[in-house]
Amino acid sequence: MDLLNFLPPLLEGAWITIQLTVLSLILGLILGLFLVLGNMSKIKFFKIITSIYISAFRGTPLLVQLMIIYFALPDIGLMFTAFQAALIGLALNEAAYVSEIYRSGIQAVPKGQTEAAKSIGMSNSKLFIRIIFPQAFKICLPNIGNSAIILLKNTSLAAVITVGELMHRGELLAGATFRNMEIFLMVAVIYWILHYPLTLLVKYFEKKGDYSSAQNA
Amino acid sequence: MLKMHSVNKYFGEHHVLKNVDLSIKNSEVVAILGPSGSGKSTLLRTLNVLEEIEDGDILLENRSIIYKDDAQKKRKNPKQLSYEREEIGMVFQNFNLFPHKTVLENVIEGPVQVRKMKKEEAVVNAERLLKRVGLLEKRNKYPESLSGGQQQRVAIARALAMNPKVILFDEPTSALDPELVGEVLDVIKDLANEGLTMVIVTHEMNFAKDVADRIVFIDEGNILFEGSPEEFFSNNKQERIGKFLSNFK
Repeated sequence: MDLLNFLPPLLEGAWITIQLTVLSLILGLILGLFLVLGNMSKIKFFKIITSIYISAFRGTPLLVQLMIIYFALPDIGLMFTAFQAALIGLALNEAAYVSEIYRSGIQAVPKGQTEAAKSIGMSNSKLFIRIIFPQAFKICLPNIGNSAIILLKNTSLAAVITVGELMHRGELLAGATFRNMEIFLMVAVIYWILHYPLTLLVKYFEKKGDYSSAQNA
Repeated sequence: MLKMHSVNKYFGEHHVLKNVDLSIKNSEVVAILGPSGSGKSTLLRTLNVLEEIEDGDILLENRSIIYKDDAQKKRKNPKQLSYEREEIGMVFQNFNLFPHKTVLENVIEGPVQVRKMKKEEAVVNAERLLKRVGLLEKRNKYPESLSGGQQQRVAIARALAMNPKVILFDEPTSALDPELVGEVLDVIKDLANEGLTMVIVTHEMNFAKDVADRIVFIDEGNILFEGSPEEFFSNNKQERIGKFLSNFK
């Protein structure tokens, strides 16, 4: 059965897809935190810079961003491997979305939490780290999970800049064998299998993350 | 010990506090009464600068908690304000316990994070306070599993844990089911008997009568009356107060 012969290269690609997804999600979550802090800060300069960043990355196609990073930046001396370029592009893009998710989460934490923390003498930074952010993050988890699912599928765009991930492997195999139907169906099924644990995780968070009885305080 | 001096506060155009002077003595329990919208909660919240005032000053033991420098009226930054707030406890209408922390963690949060107390020491102290409000057995529960009255008692323990010079109560029983009001008022009464300085905004007239050394009546941002509970509740000289009290008879 020659379909089984397609599986090893596709699974190799799937491994790269997983790496891209996990790494860019982690980087995006960290960078997104800095973005939202800048965006919600009282210092105008940070506000403007982060607003421009968020607008630029949400307002242009990820495909174009990847092209610029991989094909255009070398013109000004910034060279990346295909994998690095894809990782940078995906992470920068994810950060813009994550920062907006964080923002809605932070705004959903009742104002009384800030007041209670202040009333026991907490400084602004401490009350953010210990009181606001943990609650906001919990509120954000279902949305971050959804965003991670989109990110997983967006990694397929890295095929265009020659990253040997799942989609790219599929294209190569299909080009060589003309077995388009079987190969792209296999690619689709692998993406579906990869996304499934994330879906379960989102469902779990949605159930668990609900302490609304304490929130109406 | 805690003084407001010619305090003015605006919400936009609305003049909420009009040249308010108020002085609270050590170990005194002051109840602030007034119709809703009179500015009584705002007054309380200005005392630990949860509301910023436009004009006037607030002094804790003769030291401004608003200004760095009295002559130039330079305001304190958030960091400096947080030092002042350590000395002034607050209990909120909606409890505002930290939902992601257990009862015990709620109570030790301030001492450990702000006062830099050793954790073991803070736990011993917190357990003593939880025992005092009758909730020691709930120490590892999360706030959401507690009744409103229990949550408010934890909030009182959290405020006490900072060992503040004064505690402000902002309508501590207004969000509670009627049958849970008593347990919270009992705790506050005990504290009053122990000589803790307290300022209480409340709608519980009988409680105010019982526990307060002094009643302050405020309407439309002005203090209309200041005096003993006996004087206040037998007041028939001031029409506004008579009208207010008639609502509770």
